Amino acid sequence: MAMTRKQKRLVLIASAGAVLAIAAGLILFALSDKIVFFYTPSDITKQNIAAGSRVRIGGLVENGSVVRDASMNVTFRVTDTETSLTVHYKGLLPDLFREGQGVVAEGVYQGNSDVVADTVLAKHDENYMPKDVADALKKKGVWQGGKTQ
Amino acid sequence: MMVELGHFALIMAFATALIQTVIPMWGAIARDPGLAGMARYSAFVTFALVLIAYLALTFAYIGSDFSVANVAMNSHSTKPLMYKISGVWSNHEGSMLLWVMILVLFAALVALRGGGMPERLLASVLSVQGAIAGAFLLFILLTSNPFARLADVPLEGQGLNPILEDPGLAIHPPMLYLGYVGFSVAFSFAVGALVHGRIDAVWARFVRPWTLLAWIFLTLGIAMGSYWAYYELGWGGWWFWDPVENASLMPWLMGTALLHSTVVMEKRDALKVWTILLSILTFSLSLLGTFLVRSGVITSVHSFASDPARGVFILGILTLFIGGGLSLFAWRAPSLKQGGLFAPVSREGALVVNNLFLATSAVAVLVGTLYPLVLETLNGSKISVGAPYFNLTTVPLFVCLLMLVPFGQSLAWKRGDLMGVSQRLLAAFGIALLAMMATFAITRGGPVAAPLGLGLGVWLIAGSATDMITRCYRRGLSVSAVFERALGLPRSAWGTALAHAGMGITVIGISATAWGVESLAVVGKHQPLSVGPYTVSLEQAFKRKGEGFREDVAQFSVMEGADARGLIETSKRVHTGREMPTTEAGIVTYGLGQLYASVNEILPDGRVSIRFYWKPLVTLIWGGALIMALGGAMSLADRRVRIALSAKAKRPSAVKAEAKA
Amino acid sequence: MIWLLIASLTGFVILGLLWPLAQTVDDSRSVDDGDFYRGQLQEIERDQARGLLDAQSAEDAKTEAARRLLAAAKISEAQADRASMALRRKIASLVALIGVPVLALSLYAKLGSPTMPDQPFAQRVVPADENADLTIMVAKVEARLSEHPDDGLGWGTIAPVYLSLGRYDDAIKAFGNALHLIGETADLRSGLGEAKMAAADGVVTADALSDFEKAYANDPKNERAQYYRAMAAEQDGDKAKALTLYRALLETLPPDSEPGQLVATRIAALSGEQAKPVFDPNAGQSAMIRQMVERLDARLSTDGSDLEGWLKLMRAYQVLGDGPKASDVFSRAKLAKANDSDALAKLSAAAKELGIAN
Repeated sequence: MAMTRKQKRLVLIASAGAVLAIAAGLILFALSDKIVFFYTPSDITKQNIAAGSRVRIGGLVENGSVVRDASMNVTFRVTDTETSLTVHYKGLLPDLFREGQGVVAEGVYQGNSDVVADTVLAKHDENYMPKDVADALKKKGVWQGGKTQ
Repeated sequence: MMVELGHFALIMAFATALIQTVIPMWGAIARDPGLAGMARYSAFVTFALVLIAYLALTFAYIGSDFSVANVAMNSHSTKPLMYKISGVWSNHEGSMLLWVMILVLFAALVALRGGGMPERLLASVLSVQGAIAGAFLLFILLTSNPFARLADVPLEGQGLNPILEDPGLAIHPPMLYLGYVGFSVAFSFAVGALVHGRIDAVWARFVRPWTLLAWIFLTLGIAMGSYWAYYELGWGGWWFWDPVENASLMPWLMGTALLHSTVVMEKRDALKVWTILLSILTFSLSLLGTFLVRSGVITSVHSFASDPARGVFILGILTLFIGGGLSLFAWRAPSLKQGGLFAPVSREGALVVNNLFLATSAVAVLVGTLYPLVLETLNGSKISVGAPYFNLTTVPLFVCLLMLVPFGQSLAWKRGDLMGVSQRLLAAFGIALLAMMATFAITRGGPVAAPLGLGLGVWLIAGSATDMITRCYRRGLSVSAVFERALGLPRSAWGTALAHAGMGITVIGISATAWGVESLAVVGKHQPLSVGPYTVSLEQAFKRKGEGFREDVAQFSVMEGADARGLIETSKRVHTGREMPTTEAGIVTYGLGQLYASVNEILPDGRVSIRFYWKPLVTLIWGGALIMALGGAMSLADRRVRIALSAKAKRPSAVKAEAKA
Repeated sequence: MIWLLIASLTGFVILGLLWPLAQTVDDSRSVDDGDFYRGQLQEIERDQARGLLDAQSAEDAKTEAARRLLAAAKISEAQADRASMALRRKIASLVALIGVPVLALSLYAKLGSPTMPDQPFAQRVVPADENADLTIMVAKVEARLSEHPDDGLGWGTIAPVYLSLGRYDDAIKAFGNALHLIGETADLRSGLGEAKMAAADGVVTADALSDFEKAYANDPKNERAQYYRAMAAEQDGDKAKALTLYRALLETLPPDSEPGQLVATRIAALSGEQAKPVFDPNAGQSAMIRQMVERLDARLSTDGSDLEGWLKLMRAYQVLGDGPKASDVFSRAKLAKANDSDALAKLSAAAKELGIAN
């Protein structure tokens, strides 16, 4: 199977092009389909997010709103001090999940201020709050940054 | 005094790094062997100075010298010695110092082993290393000085984040850094070659061991980090597509491509310009990894150190080295002598395919990691790119790549015989197919992806075995002759086979996660809960005090059918003086699988809210990575590779220009 | 001593850097690429002899290696001439000899604190320092508490110590535990309030105030509760109420005692301010901040060792829009910290950041 220089070059370029095209296609498709937007509870109501869309919401866990039942279903409200959403979740909550603390939940918006979450993230160490939450709350003028050392 | 001497040594190291940058490069350009000769000694001196600084800081930690702000913030007089030592790199300042120390260590090693290298190449390589070290030393001194002192010396230090107090995490960062920073050598070689204007098989011969070394450490570092997250975070996952994990995966993917392309360059004197580009890109991704972790620009579960002000400085360093490297490449690469072309069906052709897949998957990960950042900058909308994106993009690319691996491995250099190779691999293919069908039959109704993945893993292992067997075995040879041939094969061939088989093992482990079982429940005493093939029941829940913490422990007995299989315990721990509770997962290994318990809460009435996983074959994920690293080590130990490392040996460097080996 | 070490380190470094220049260069030492390819040829022959290569591929390999050997031989590199080499060597030596120490020393003068000795934990001066006993005590009590977390008395003992050490969060926890285990006492309750207030940077938050109210209800004679209730009123801008409360407290205190004087100064300050005819619309907030700033100022005037305090004060004045005061504080701070180069550097950096002209 003797190939000329030109043919060799063509085969190489064609195969490289094919792989790149497939990769580019995958990336573009995944970016249009598999990303999740971040909202605060007020965004959800203001922007009329359609029920059934996948969302990531962030805010503070409302004081006194956490309700657990025996089969590990948890319901709590996430607030940005303006509006709040009800989040339903089944499973273990992170160690640092606490009332009054920052939280990010990802799941499907059910409409009517209800979210069924499949992931709940709490702030991961004492000086750290999910950036999304901190930014969103800062905009509302709630969170005051770290304590002065 | 020791502290101040360390501080001075660090500052002095910055000055000598500048010398190491400027004078050897001048010597290399002016072809002055005297000036170029200063490269090696200045590399030694810089390393010695950074080592003094590093040791001084370590002593300050061991002696709990809280007049050093860094020690006061991150240590405590009652810490065990091990965590005092690892405390040095548990924080931003110290970890940057470790980063630079590894960097100058590599430079010193290149200088030590580089006696046989062309003087000008060595001078320019060390000069670039000096420039990187200088930039990071300046960064440390101006924005993150670990030697800052406190006028009012606190009575006690603030201690270490308890989640970081773990032997796994103590060794994880140095491993990862050895990997990241190791690629700086490839980068420096690439820039050196561009300045030098010459690049050939000799260059590849010298650069390959360093790339391999960095790759081994990075592989181990990633595996270790993954296992740490698995048992420490208590979520039972082993990979989260977290930006910090991606930051280590990207250089790994690109570095793996580089590793393979240097082979082509070394054996066939081809793919030169591409290899140079890969060297630059791999280290760029390592720098980007440092940037992602250190600047906190992308928040993630790992963000223990975030300070955007430092980020700007690092951004400057990134621009300088990535931008500078790529510009130099754009300017000089066209003038490099192109390597030869080759037939598409050949070992080198297969390696090109490998490079394409690895590089594109690195790009896919990069896009997913940076896309949220770019979008936020552009229009302020916030998105998260999670596992669905990464799985969709990388998995197909990897599946294609891995299916082709056994072919590539078996093809001959120059002109491959695809038909012949296919015939030889027929048995391996049959075994993989059989394994797949058998698993399908056994787990009827189970997830489809798992048997497919298992088949792929077996295909990789069987493919590697086939390659080794065809090399050793000839019809009519006696057993001892075959054995002798096997021993006579270059260690790098064994290394390749081992690494590919290791990849196959990891693939099997990953596929098997689909068979994982999760049980969530609130259970009372002796109330059975079934988890896969096991039944667990709560034996007791009690409080316990350990050194520096209190914990609520839940202890379960494990039964398999009627057989008792021991106890498993998991706890909720609260460290003294810290509010932060941590979950200590209970993990018991049965065969290759693991039973994983994670307590949520011990209720006042004595019932326990708990999560159990049965994760069949899960240990293969990390076991495979270890085997891959072992394969790398084997390849590094190859006499013909190691020559470049041992300059003092009087043996001339040796390599086969080309052969089937 | 430190300078001796620094000097000798510098000496060694320069020696190390210049070492290669002192050596006569042996041009033949540099290995040429030819060796590499000759090695390849030998390797191929060895492999062929061991039967790992067949004759055909060995022959191919040899041809290729030989071709590359020829290519390498063609690119022999020209050497530079001797005269310019000597000149360059002189320049390089000078740079290393002068540039390195000058750069290192001047940077160190900016960043280092050469006068500061090491202070490892084990060698900290114990007897002269009353805090040292405190450390030992804290460590002992902490150890005991980690074994007996239900020891209310222990929590009650350590809580005020945490407070005085500035470990406010620990203090809040300890006071809380003590209250839980021992039961309600005015001292513990007002301590909890004080800790919460301290954690909130000196603001009597609603949460803290409710503690003081509880303590006061429990024991109207509790001085701390009285004092902070007054301060809460003061911070809320209710001067009349604050004055009444302060005055009531003052009556129960001996006038020459420290608390007595403290309360007297508060009253004086409040009465003085009350004389001012007009109030800012958001006086409540800014007056409160002013007071805190003035308290800090007064403290620093008597004891200027607190660098963080100085930085805070400087920042505070600047934020309040009082530029001249801020630059005044900057000069005072520089005076107070005149012999601490590290602190001076920090002060100047902060002043620069705040745009304080001086």
